[in-house]
Amino acid sequence: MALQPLCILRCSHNWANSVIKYYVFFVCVFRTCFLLNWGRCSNKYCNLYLIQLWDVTRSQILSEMREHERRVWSIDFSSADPTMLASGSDDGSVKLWSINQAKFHFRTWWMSALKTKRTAVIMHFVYILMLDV
Amino acid sequence: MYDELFLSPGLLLQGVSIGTIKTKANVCCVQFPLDSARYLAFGSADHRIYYYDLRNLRVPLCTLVGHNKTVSYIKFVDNVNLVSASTDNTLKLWDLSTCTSRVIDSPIQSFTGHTNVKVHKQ
Repeated sequence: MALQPLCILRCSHNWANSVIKYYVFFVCVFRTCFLLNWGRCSNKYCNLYLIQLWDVTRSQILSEMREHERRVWSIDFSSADPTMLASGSDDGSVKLWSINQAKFHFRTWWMSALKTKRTAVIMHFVYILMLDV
Repeated sequence: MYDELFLSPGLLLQGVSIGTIKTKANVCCVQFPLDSARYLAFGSADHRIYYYDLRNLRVPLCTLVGHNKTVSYIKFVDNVNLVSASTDNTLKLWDLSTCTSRVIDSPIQSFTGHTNVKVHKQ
């Protein structure tokens, strides 16, 4: 799973004065197999194109949006409601997103937790315990 | 350990889209109007610009027809006026306030003069 940022698309409109500060978007691509994005793609393997929401002040990803199947060309914040954003892609779809609406995603959490070696060991035992139950 | 497990940086949340507009051609640029989050315009590879009311994602509020090639970029200059750029070398200025019909086929003004040719440097 290789993440390659293609371009930074947009920063937030209200830069300093409100709840939302310093967001930068990256559009990346990563290769998933058919099982991981069940029912979305017709191919056995397909590239999902991500939109990542970064908090620049803490330099970490806030959330990730992975629903586009082709390259994302454009993203726009609404200046009237800066939590709203729209993204347009080559797959012929325009998707609307709200920054506040994100779900906890077990698999991504799992994958990120596995990145450090020590947690990987812990997670392994947690997993065994879960299987036991 | 708690930090590593539960507060590990990033990738905890996955965004869920709150709406999808399906079109047949590639979408090249999306843009919200300056004053509201209820509408959305986007330029498409089928030479048209669509203007949607986000409460009704099925049918576009109006369609702007006039370009001969892909609309590569659009920008709202104020609340009702929209400028679009296309690979057919033209810029067009549209007025969305006259959006009584579903299709607008004549822009206010069309700006020509650009060329879209590849320059080979020696």
